[in-house]
Parts: sequence; C-alpha cells; structure tokens
Amino acid sequence: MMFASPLFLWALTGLIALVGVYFLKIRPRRKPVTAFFLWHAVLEEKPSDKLWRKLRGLWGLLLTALVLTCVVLALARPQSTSAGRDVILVLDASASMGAQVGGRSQLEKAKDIARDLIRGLDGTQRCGLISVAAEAQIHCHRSSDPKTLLAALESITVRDQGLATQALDPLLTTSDQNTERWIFLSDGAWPDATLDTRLEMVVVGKPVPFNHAIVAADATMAVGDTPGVTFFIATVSTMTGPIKGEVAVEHIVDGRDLLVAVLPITLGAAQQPPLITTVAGLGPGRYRLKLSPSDALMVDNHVNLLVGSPAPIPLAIVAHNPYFFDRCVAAFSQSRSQSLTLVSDPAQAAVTVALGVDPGTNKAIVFAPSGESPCWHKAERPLGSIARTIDAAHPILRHLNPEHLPWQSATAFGAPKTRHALVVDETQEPLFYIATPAGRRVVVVNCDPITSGLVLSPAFPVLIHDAALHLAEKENAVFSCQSTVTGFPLPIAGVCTLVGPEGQKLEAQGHSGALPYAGWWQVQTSATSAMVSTALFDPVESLNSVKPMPSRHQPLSSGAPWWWILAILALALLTIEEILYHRRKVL
Amino acid sequence: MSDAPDLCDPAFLARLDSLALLARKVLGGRLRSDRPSPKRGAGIAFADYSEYRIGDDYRSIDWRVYARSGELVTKLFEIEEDITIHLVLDRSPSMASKLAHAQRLAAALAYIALCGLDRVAIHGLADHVSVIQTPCQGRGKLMSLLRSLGQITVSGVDSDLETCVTELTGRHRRRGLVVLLSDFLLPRGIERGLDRLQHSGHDVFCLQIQDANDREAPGLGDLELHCVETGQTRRLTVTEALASRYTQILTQWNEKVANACKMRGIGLTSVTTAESCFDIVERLLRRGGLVA
Repeated sequence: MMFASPLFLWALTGLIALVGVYFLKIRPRRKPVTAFFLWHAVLEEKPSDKLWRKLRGLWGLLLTALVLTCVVLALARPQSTSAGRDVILVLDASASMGAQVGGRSQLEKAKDIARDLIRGLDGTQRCGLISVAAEAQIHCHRSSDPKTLLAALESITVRDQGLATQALDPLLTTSDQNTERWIFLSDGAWPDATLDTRLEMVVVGKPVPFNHAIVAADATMAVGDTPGVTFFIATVSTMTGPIKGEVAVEHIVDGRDLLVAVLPITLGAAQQPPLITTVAGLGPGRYRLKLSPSDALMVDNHVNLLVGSPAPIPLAIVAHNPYFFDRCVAAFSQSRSQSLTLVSDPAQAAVTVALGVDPGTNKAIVFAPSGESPCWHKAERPLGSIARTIDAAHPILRHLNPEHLPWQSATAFGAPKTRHALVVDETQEPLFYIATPAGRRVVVVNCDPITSGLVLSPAFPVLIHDAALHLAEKENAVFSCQSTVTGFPLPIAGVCTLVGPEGQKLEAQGHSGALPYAGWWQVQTSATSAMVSTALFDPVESLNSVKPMPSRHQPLSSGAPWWWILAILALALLTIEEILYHRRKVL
Repeated sequence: MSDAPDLCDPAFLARLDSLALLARKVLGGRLRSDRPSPKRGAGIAFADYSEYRIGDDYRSIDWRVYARSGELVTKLFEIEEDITIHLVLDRSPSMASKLAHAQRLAAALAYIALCGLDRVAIHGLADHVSVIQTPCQGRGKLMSLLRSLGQITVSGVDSDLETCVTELTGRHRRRGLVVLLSDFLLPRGIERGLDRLQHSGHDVFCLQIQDANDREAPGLGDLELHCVETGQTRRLTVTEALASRYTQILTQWNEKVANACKMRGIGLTSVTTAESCFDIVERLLRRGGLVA
C-alpha cells in the first residue's frame, strides 16, 4: 500500500489533541441532588452495567479516533502497489449508438460505464479514450487524471457512419496485452461475428425493439408530359410482417419545410420493392424525406435530397455527314439525364464533335483525324488495328471496352508528343488519345465511325457522351443524396473544403471520403462552391441494432477507490458516535 | 442557596399582621383550633363532670343535673395553659434552596403565636439541634426573633431527626407544640423521631417544604450526581425512564411520610416553594390551624 499524498498522515498527530478534547467534552455536568438516597434506590433497580459504564467514555473516543484516522487516510489517498493494467476504452460511435432506448441513447449508456471505469482507476493505472465508427479517433491519450479523461469522454458524439472495427487494427498492433486492456463499449450492432480477440466486448444498453430505414433514395426532374420530381426510395425494416408506413416529402424553401406530399410505403423484413413515384408540380430544389412510423434510431428515417436543374452540355457537330452524330446527341437531350443538347453554332457549344477535321475549338472530339492539326501529324506508316488499352481507369473508358472498337479504319496519323494515350496499337502508336496543344483539350479517336460501322454500335453514343462529360468536367455525377459511409466524388476539381451541417470543416481532394454526419454539406474552393446532400444509407447499421452481439469481457473493476470507501466509513462512524453522544449529552 | 430573606421588612411585617388578624378571627388568635388541656380546674371551657365531694365549691355544682337526676355533680373546666411552640427548622444542606421559604413560614407562624401570647422557640435541625431563639413571649420579642430567624444559614452535613429530637426533648421536657419545617428527605426516616416526640408528650405538626429540584430529575444525559449533604457522587446516564422512575420513588417516599404522620395522628402539610408563604399560612388557618 502506498499513499499518493503522504503528508496528510501527519494529521494523525491530531489524535493526541482529540483525546484531550474528547475527555474534556464528555466530562459530565455536576448536579447537586437533595435525595441522593432515593437515586440509590432507583439505581438499585437498574441491572448492573458496570462494564458499559466503565467503557462508555472510551467507546466514543475510539469511534472519534477511528473517524479521524479514516479521514486522514482518505486524504492521503491510499493506492495499491500492485500495478494494474492500463485501460483503453473504445466507444462505438456509429449511427446505431444514437438509438434512444429508455429515454437515453446507447452512447450515453456507454459513457456511464466509461465514467465508472475511469473513476475506478486506482491512481497508478492510465486510461485512454478512443471512439470508432468508419474510422478510429483518439480523444485522450493514456492518462491517469480522471478530470482530463472525463472531459474527453464528453467530447465523444455519435457519427452518422457505420462501424468498421478494422479501423482499430493499426492501433491494436502496437498494444501490449500484458500492460493494457482494450475494452470495447458498443451496442453490438454489427453482423460480423468476429471481433479482434484483443478487444473485450461490453454490450451496453438494450436492443432496439424495431427499426425501419431508408437505405437508398434519389430524386430527379421528371421528363415527359407530367413535369415534376420523380422519387426513388428503398427501405429496410426489422419488422417481419408487411406494415404500412409513409414517407412525408417536404420541400425546403427559404429555410422553411413545406409538406408537399405523403407517399404510402410498405415496410417489412422481406425484400420490398423500392418506391418510385413522381410528384407532379415540383421543381428543382432541396427536399427532405421523413419515414414513418418513428422508431428508436431516427437518423436513418430522414434523408435530404437535392434536385438540380437540368444543365445539358451544348454540343456542335462539324461533319460532312452529321446525321448519326445529330441523332446521338438528340437521343441524350431527350433522355431523363438531359446531359447533352445540340447547338448549331460551334461558338456556343461547350464541346464540338468533328469528323475528319480539327474544328479548332478549345474542347473537341475528333473522329478519323485528317488534314493539318496540332492534335495529330501524318504518320509514316498506317496504324495497326490491334488495340491495347493502357489507361483503363480513365473516365472516358469507364463504360467502354475500347479494344473491341473497329480500329481497322484508323488513318495514318499519329499523336503529337503532348498527348495522353488511352489506347495504342501494337506499335505503341496511340489510336485513342487526348491532345492538349496550346491549352486546348481534344479527344482524338483514330477511327471513322461511319465507314467502320461504329455508329451502329452502342459504344458510339457512350463514347461521345463520356468524352463530352469529361471535356466539360461533368463526369462525376452528383446524385441527389450521397452516402456518408462511402462518401462521394467531389464535384469540384482541386483541394476542396467541405463544410458540414454543424459547421464542421474537412479538407479533401477528388473524393470526400467517409463523412461523419448526414445532412447538407457545402463543397467549396476559393472560386466556386456546390451543395451536396448526405444520408446514412447503411442497411447493416439499421438492421443489426436489434440483434446485439453478446458481451465478452473480464470482470470490470469499477468500484469506488479506497479514499471514497474510507470517507464513507468515516461518515458512518461519525454518525454512530453522534448518536451515542447525543444520547449522553445534557439537555 | 437562596438569599437570606429580610424578615424585618415593613411590607413583610404588614402581611404578617394581616395573618395574625385572620388567626384571631378564625382561631381566636391561636395556631390550633383545638388544644385541649388534660388538666382540669378553674377555667372557662367546660371539660367534664365530677362527683361532688365534701369541700368542693358549691358554685361548681350543676343544679340542672341535680334537678334531673338528684345527683350532685360538679363541673370541671379546662385549665388554659400557655404552651411553647417549638419551630424546628431543618437547616441541613438539602434545605439550601428552601431555607428562605422555611424562614418566612416560620416567621409567619412565630408572629401569630407571639400575637396570641404563646411562647415561641426556634431550633435548627441538622446533624444536631441548634438554638436559634430561646423561648420568648409577647410582641416585644418579635423583632429579635425575626432577626434571629433571618440569620439562619445552612449548616451540618447530614440530617438525623431522631438524634435531634432526642436532644430537643431532653432540653424541653414541658409539653408543647413542635412544628417541624423540613423537606423530610431524611435517609434514616422520620418514624422514630416522630415517635420520640409524641412519647415526650409534644403535639407535632409537620410542614413539608419541597421544590422542583427535589421532585424532578436534575436533567437528562451524562450527569455526576452530587449529594449536597454527604458529598457522595455518582456518575450515571439519566434517561427519561430513569427520571420518571425517580419521580415515582420520590412520590412514594412522600406518601410514606404522609402515612407515617397519619398513623400517628400528626398533621402534615406539603407545600412547594412556588407557593407564597402567606397563602400557605392562610390556608392552614382556615383549615383549623396546625391540626392533624
């Protein structure tokens, strides 16, 4: 046994003064009586209590001395010298921990257990605090100061993400089981039965009785005779039988939520077909879906949707026979996506599609190069027809298998030195490349689509569409709602600042990564900004909150520390002594 | 210890005057309404008849009886004799808080007695009898008596009634009226003392004076009881039950004292210091004085 504050032990010398004061205090008051012989008669009747009388004064002194000793020892903070293992508390901060069961969230219950464990530290033990959802976040490094730990504990909040326990692997690999215990506080709502054996699992709270969730949702402008917004809503539920639910559609206008539609929906454990419906009269803007009936986990019942105005890419055609090109662009302009539209003046076009000639515009797609152009040069010999893709990950090739295109019609024109080759022939000569002379961006496809029959292939419109999107930098389609679990490709190139619903800021480039909170996110650069909506969209997190994993842990020593026990003992002894003394004191 | 009362205070004397007047009105100026004398002779109060003997006074023959019965009988009359009223004050340490009250009571009784031309003597009672005032008579002795009475202080270490009575009766063989003013908290009891007094021919009257300190426990909790007479001490924890039991035992003791007096035909009045001495004396007078 050692003492954290041994100086307090000097206070035990107060016992000497206590003895003196005590005997002065308990000296009984002297009262003269006139009928002393009558008192004799009274006392003769009383049973003999000689021993008690002798010790009466001493009992009180003993109790008071014990009280003083307990108080002094409590102040000296005794600690066990046997070294306890450090404790690393890992709190599950995934979305299911936000479920309210019994008026409190699962995370609050986990924090209660964590508080007990922190208060039960014996002074030599250290504790660390980590929260985990899609990634692990360290809130407090190993510390023996309960105050610091408790403050860090309060900073842990629920994140709108699924749980990925593998996020702890990099931290677990550096831990030593002989000196550390890793205790994982979770509601146990994940499907994988395996948990790292180095983690002791403590299931907190009670299982959620039932849960419904929207796991996918989208909204686009409807085309055709009935203008409006078409909604796509996919749900899951833990309830077995089909039950009637509804989705309230609210249009957010000037910060106000206007209820515009209530969509009936069937919920159930069995695979329910998604709800696809068009609500007439609605236009572009922000929408919110609210799934009823309510349940314990509400974060997966609400989805924000962003319906953008159609903004097709204007294309101009420069070809001696523009028929197939016109039909291709027209098909896209009449589709739901409305991604392309035909313009006659190349000066008004964002992208120019040309056949056999360099149109000279900044962004162009050129088939069958010929003539003079900085985007190609006359080759010494014809190009081969056996194609090989060398940049399969390029966005233009996302939906294409370019090796199967009819390259036999390739003309004897080679690529300039400044180009980005996508497909080459057997002699490494580019057949399909992007030339960037003098700030221009020109996609060159060394293939005559008409003579080769490419115009009859579905690859033709796909190639034009994807190449136009790439040149117009609109290839990363932003859905009306993105998942916080998977993140989304950023709609703006370069390093962006993402500002979350509560003002949180993240830096990202190219892809957002998993986001901590669902809601409206602003993607900003110094030049431009865009708004993106996010939601949980995690059926694992939604469905497993009712089927928790079992606990698996060693006994938790969360008892009160020694000084607390001594303080309570001192209080109890003081109460006993006061009762005894109160009985004796002169009224 | 209570402060010595000023028994010569004019206001006090005025009150005593009124008591004497009451005594004269109610009891003919005496302290007892009935004080028969066993002696027969020339007097005023008729006592008995006696057979006529040659030489008896003719005037004492009751001619009515002769007319009825034909027998000659003579009337006998009580011989009124002045007696000495012995006021015996308990001056033991137990009377410390009650002595002033006893002094005032004794002063009142002495005043009435002196006004009724009785002789009054005052004695102190403790472990032995002390003379406070030798027998005196007449109103001229009043002030010196009151002064002597007022100077009584507590003395002695114990109260032994029998010993004191033995001393008293040894000094004063002539019958008289002995008024005992005491709290009667006497460990050795009072029976033998009363018996001795009666055996000596004295009429006895007991005036028991107690106060709240006698009748109730001195407090609750841890106490060290200290006997004011013997100096003995005892530490104990007085509980409510214990205090109640003490009160019961004291009541039983007082009943025993009352029974002892009753069995001997001795008058007893129990008073407390809360009552005014004048009210006490007035009550006594209206009841017939110091009678059983």
